[in-house]
Amino acid sequence: MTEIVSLRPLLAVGAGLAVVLPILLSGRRPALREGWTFLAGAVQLGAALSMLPAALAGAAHVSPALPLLPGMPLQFRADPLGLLFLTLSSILWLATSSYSVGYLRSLGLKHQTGYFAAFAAAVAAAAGVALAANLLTFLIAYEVLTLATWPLVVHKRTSGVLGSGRSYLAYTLIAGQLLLGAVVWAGTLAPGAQFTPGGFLAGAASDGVLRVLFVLLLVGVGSKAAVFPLHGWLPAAMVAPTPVSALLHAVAVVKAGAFGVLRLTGWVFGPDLMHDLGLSLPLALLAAGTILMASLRALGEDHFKRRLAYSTISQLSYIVLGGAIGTPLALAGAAFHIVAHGFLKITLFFCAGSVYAATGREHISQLGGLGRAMPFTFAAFGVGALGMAGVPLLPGFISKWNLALGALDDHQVWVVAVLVLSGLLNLAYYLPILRVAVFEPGDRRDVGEPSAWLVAPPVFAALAAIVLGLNPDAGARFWSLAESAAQSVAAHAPEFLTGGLP
Amino acid sequence: MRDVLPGLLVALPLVGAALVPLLAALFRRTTRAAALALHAAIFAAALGLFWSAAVAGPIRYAVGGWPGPWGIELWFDGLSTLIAVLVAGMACFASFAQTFGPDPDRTAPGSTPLREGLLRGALLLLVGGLLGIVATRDVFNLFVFLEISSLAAYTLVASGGGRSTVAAFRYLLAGTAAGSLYLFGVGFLYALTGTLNMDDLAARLPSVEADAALTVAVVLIAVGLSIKAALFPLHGWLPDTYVYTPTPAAGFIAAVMAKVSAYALLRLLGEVLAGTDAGAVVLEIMIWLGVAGVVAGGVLAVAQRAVTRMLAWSSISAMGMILIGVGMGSALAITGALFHMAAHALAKGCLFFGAGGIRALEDGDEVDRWAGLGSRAPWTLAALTVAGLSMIGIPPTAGFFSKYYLLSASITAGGPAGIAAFAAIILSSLLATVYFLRVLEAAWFRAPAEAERASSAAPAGPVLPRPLALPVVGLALLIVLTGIFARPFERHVLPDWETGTARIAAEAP
Repeated sequence: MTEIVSLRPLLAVGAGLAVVLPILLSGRRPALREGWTFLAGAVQLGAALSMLPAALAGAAHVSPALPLLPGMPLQFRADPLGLLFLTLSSILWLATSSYSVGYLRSLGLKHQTGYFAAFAAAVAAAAGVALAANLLTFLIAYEVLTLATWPLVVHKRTSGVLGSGRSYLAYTLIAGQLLLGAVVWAGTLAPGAQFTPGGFLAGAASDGVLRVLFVLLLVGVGSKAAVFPLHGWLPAAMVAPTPVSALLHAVAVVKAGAFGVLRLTGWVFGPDLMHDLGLSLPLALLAAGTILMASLRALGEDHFKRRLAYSTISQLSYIVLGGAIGTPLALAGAAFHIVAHGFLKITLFFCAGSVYAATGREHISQLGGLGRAMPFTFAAFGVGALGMAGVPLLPGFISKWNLALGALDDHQVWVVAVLVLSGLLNLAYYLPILRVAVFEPGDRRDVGEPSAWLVAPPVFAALAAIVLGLNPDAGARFWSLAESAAQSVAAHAPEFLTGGLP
Repeated sequence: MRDVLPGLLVALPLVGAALVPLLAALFRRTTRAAALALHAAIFAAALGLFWSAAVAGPIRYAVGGWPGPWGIELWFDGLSTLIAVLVAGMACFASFAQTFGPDPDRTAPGSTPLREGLLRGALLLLVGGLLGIVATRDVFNLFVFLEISSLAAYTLVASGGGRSTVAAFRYLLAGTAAGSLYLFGVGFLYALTGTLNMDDLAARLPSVEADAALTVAVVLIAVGLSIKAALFPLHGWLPDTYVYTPTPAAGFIAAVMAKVSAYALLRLLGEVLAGTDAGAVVLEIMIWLGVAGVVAGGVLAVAQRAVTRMLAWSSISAMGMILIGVGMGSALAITGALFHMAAHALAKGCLFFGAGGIRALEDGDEVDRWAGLGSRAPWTLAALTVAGLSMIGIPPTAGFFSKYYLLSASITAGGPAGIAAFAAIILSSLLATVYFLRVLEAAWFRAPAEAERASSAAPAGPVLPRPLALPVVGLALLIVLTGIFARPFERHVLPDWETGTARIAAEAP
């Protein structure tokens, strides 16, 4: 891959960090404060889009390396997969910011300045995760992400909320330490530990050592991705304000974890080595188990946001599943699912938040009548719900279709069954929400759509999802990015291009 | 410059230690400025030596013009100048903090100018002793400086009155035992080899028959210095000393005192005595004791309710980590150990200045007292947060990088000791996560209890007075800068260590 040394990756990562201090200092002037956020979001998005043509042409913008440890610099590289995640986070950050403005003001929440500052830091860290060129940079961004989201999760400051925050930190920081150990280890086995399409660990150590290393790395990134049995923190973290949950699920934390799993399977170990070590199938089974178990758990959950949380656990394991299968189509489907799930899930969370902001209701059984009182919100919700289930013409279908084809390339027919079953379960736990909201009578007095700040973002996200479903390459060219990311991995594993295993 | 600086570095603090109390008695106003200027000059000399050693190679300085092995030599390579910079730099902060006066009783002791001058003199004496330990190439001279620094430290510890007198006495008992053991060990070595110069010793030791006398010498030296370095289970003096020492001195003592002894261990066991059989065994044992200390220190830190005591136990954990690196002795491990000395000194200094000040002003040391401080003093708390994150080892703070080196060294070393060290370091990070985030959570996200708010006389102003706030914030900045820009350090310091040990190995017949 041709490398273009430029400052653009630094700009993309630094935009969010650079505004943290200005945001903290302009706490008395809310308009200015939120202006900084939008400015940083625009800069980040601009930087991401400007690196797009090069990435699609097979080149990559690379930041100058800052030597931190022997052979391990701090460096950012805008390869297709990283750029896909970066572009997605910038777009959704802008949407979430405008939603946050409406949400915080309509509920009159405290600590708004700290909120926006932590938000900017978290998105910058997510950008760092996206563009990290090696394991060390990835680890640094990952840890910063954990700490930057902590104040957001415990925003309400009550003792119960602080307890949830502790559980969040316990999962993510313990996993972070295991990740640290694994990164050190990988660094001694393969100096530099630079992400390489197709992996860099083949032949670096005995099979047993590599298997242990894989488990350590997987626990490290998998706990953020909420892979079973490391998912316990996610429903608890629903105590956060809704825009935070939206960000956590669609972009920052959970998604960064799923992204990390893709990096791990495609760029650290590589599909070849994973097959040779016999790791692909166990990981795929783990992902499939997570998909089904979380879906079943979602069925019985009446708390609106927690049901969405279980849905996220289930949906993100699609990405893990794609990484485990490792065929080009499966990888492309998994990478595209980062985008698809991002737009769809943020829509759903925005809707849940709007309901809470407008009515204070948090449970699904209380939603009666709201479908007619809040038509835009629930129309957007319908799009998100159907998309999640994988209904054609919506982006969720594209990722699942490719995942299924990729699994068939690897002769893993059972995966298709899991995907179909999960789609049905998705319908089973999303449609009742719509049914209650639209058809059941309820108290509708004095209930209407909240302010435009709260209505526009979900509608925008839903419309974007529809566009992506019709043409997955529209706008930021997400599908091309996903495809070329998958091709770059496959180029180093020739036998997969033919489809079968030896 | 290379002819003058070495002498200045050791002479300045010792002369200053006598001058400053005199100045204080004669002209009250000038004491503070004079002490600060002296510390700044010492720091400048240390920096100059570091730079000079990095650019033009190590400096050998014969005191009084008498060359070794007969005279006393000072030796300034990347290693010793680095520690000298650390000691002298921390002393500047401590001297600034001394304006705060001893606590917890801010008015009683230390109120007279003479007393303040004497305490400033004691700090200078302590710095002189530590710099002497760092620089000297003579094992007996090292004992002398060890005693000088210890005596000055006892004074500073006891200056708080009350409980701190008891702590100082306990420290004195441990320190005296340590010094005596070390001296006995040196006596044995002298009897065996007839020399006290480190280079000469290293050259002669291989021809000495490996008998019980040599083993006893090595063990006595190792145990003596390990007590001073608070290697588990010889750490008994440490918690009370750190907790009851008045804040300005505590910030300094907790930051560098034990580390200089660890440095002496590194010099003697890792370099001079490394070739002996007993030395190799002692180093191996040191790894295991380090592992035990890392775990025990962390667990006991979690068990503490008082913040300063928690910090003290966390120091025992950190010293264990440093001594793991010393015990392993590989280039990576030594880098990790030195880096951790620096990282931990900066962070612990910052935390003790901060926690001590908060203890004095909030009239209590429990974690609950920290509730709500984040909104009252965001900048100070942000600085303390950085120090805490460095202690946990969160990137990009300095503590992350030292842990990285030590983990890397453990993995490379392999074997049971390597794996145990690896696991212990990871575990210590997790324990540190528990005990530091508990404090940070209280400070940032919890409101003070209602009863507290009503009864407490705590003003709504800054939580730290300027003499403490400035060192706290300055050190936090240094923690981040050290983490990110540490590669030059590694480039200059490590080769000196490697050529040094290689030279000693080559000189062996």
